[in-house]
Amino acid sequence: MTLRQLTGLDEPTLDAVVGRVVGQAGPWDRLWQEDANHGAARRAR
Amino acid sequence: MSLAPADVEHLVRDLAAGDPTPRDMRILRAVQLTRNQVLIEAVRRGVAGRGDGDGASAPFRTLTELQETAPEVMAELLVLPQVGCWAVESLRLLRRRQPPDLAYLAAFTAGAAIRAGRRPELTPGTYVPGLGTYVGNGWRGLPWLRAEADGLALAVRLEAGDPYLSGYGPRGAAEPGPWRPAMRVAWRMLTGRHRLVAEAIAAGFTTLVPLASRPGGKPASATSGWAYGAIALSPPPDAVTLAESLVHEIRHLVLGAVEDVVPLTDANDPRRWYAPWRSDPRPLGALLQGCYASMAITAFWRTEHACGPPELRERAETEYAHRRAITAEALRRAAESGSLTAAGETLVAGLRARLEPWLRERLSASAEELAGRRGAEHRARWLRANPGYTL
Repeated sequence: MTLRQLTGLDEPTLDAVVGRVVGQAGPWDRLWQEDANHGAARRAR
Repeated sequence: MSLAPADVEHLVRDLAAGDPTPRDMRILRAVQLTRNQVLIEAVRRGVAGRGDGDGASAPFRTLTELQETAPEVMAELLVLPQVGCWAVESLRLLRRRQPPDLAYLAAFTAGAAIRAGRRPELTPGTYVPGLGTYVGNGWRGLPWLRAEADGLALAVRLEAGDPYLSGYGPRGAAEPGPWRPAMRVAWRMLTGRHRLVAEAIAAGFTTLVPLASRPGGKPASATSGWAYGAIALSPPPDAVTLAESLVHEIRHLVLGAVEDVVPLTDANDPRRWYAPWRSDPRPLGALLQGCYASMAITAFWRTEHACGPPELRERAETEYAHRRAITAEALRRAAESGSLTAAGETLVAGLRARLEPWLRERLSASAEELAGRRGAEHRARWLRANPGYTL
């Protein structure tokens, strides 16, 4: 879908898609970082 | 932003069986492009709902027009990793009734307009995401890292200044020189002996976020599920470590994109798990991400042990012995969790089926002994650090 087509998407559908993808979390909740040096984890999902 | 169930099934089976195919990578890129557009539309509606005036909606209108007049340029730009991060942060701010950073969107839109052949007005000093900084009489463009070997090209932006790619940790310099020799050697190694994963990296890795070196010299690497295409790396100690990091991190980008299409675990399961590569207990989704990445590292060292240069054989054998053991252990925990979705079950079952014959491959007693010791030491440290858990 293009940006223009998305402007015609009904609110409940958009909310459902965004809600499923984003949830309630911020942008760094999906940070993948190995800490094989066994230090403290910076951020965890 | 959805795929037909049969396409999802096909995709997950592909990923379980080995490296993602070029077709898989095209599908996942399209998924991420659509996801970013959906997030931008949600931000647009949130901004419109705030009633901040026509100026606030102007960049959204321009983006929509540009997509119609320059769709190829916009397909490249809208999938940039910082777009997803900006959109998610904007939605978070809107939920708190705070204004999102529309200056950033305006700069992004101006950059898109320039790429589409227009001449928007820009203030000198403006940072334009994905392009660089406008300096009045021209551009201080982002440096690029390029490598080519065996007919396969890699081209990535070195992005050290974008505010929406700042969550990986302290950033390093935007200086491409120190990266080039290691990248050239790593790329030759990957295209020569790990062709399929090299193709996935060439297709999915667009932006290198340089991280500062860590105390002690241990290399750092990271990815974010919101930033498709970006891999954050500290300067690697050698080209082999860089190659291993790219193999590892592209897997996180791939599985993150899959998670945007289909859940792999029950997100409501509150339990935390032992992951043999982490010091902290992990949710099941994070354990599965680690399993998928660790499987690729296992395959990398298996190939290096079998086909790599003689001087690397001992290291490769030790790493292979260690990785196959900890990956098998973690996959078993994931499989027995009872909280995988159908797609998650398919992925885990496929990974275990691929790994199972590797566990029977004969390695030297010293490599096995070292792998056993490393595993035992990690478990002991983890139990000391996480009282109340048992393994």
